[in-house]
Amino acid sequence: MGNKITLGQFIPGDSVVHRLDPRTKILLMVAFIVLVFVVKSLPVFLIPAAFVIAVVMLAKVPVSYLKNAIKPIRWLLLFMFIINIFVTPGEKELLHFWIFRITEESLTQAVYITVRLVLLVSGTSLLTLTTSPIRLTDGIEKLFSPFARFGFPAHELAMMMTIALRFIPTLMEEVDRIRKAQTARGADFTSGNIIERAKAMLPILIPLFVSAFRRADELAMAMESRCYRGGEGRTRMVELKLGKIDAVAFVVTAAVFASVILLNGVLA
Amino acid sequence: MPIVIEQLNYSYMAGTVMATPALKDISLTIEEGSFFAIIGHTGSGKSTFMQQLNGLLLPTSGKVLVDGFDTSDKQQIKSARARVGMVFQYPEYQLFEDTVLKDVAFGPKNLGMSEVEAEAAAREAMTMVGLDPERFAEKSPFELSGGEKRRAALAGIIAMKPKYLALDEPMAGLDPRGRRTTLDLLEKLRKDTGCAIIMVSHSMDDVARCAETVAVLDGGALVMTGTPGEVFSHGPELRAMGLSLPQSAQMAEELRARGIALPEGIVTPEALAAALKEVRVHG
Repeated sequence: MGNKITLGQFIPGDSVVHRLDPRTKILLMVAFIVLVFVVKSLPVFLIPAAFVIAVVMLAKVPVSYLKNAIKPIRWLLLFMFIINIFVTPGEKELLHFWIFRITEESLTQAVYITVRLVLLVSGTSLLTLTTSPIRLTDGIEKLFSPFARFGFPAHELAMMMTIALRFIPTLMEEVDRIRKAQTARGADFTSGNIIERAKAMLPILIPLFVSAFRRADELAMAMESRCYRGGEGRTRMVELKLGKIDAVAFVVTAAVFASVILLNGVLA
Repeated sequence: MPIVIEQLNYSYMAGTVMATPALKDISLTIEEGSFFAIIGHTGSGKSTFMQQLNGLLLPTSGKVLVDGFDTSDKQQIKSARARVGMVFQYPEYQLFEDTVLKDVAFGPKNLGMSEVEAEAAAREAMTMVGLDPERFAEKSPFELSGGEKRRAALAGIIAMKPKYLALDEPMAGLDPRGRRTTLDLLEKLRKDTGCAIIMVSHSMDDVARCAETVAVLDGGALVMTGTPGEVFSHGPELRAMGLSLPQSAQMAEELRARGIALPEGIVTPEALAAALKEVRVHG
């Protein structure tokens, strides 16, 4: 266990993409998601695809990481493709046997959906691959801080995310320890039907929850004894500053966006 | 039959580029009914070694035979595991049932005892660790004090009637009185049931007092085995490994350095006192 899950899957690096402000990256990712849905014809998909490839090359992310990101959704992709190809109504029939009917429209629709999903997943995982969880939560906090005025708990959310991320490895270790201790007491987690197996998890889950609550309590106490009082008036060790590369990134993305809209019009 | 360990090697993440050797070529025998102590610096592989004893970790190469049952064999591991009770560090964090009695009976039930048998074993084990079944059986384990929880967890293993009881720093975090009662309990358990005790400890005094055999691990390798008297006569080597001597052995060493002729192998206060008396009479 334990070793298989890489959380946040961040690859440390010093590329331009790594150095971008996390806020820039989050905003650009949102723009990218919109972009992928704005595309109206197949050839235009080359632009967001080229965008992803360019970012991958700039960030020097090994391609295998992107493959790993797409691998878990391969069945979803297949499923979506099949559903779309048979269900989308259309005029120009390409193939017909029994109740199955494939039309030109349904085929394009299926290809669209698949390409969009692949682009979405690879684009969004580029964010987590090049941004450390800490910087990511910092960015989220900063982005949402204007809404704090209206009662939105931006700092609290970011703090909760940071703590959650911080404790995942700790709790994984804990699970491993408890699992071993209960195995030594003869507990069997590998045989029996689903209900028996779920029941067999209790000796792990109960001590895990107990210890998670204990840790939460201790952490709260430790934070309080260091005078933690929420986000108000709190300064940061590393200030986020938008720089020249962020401006460049915004301009490039805007250009990509414009060219997609333009090409959409031309090819329509 | 004893626990026989033959040329045991173990690496974490074996077979990957991240493979880190944790145990190197360890061969030793733990006799039935003996009191076996393992000492070593933090990170010397003690806990990893302990987990090998009942197959929670399996050798990368070499063999662990518990009464002849090979832990690497899927058919034999259950028999091996049933013979070795394993008490982890801070075992109180493994309690989970709604009453102490049920929790203590969890292990015996898993071994295939009937409800009645398991409860009887649980009550017996609770009495042994000093938790009166009348008072504690129906309590929630989460209501107990720290020391009581530790004893309840220990009872959960003892109730399984292991032939070998392996304990990883059973006294960690206990006050002096808790340490003494735990150690007394282990001694009594060994005398009453003939169960061998295999204990990792950082307290050289406890080791000197109780152990028959001491094994010293350093960097995953077995560097010394012998009686406490033999092992603790290697003061300089032990210190180089970041270990210390029992207080009495230290005292004897200092006295020897000041010209008092004390014999080797003094590791307990009693032995030191006797030796000093001898010196006064004859010297």
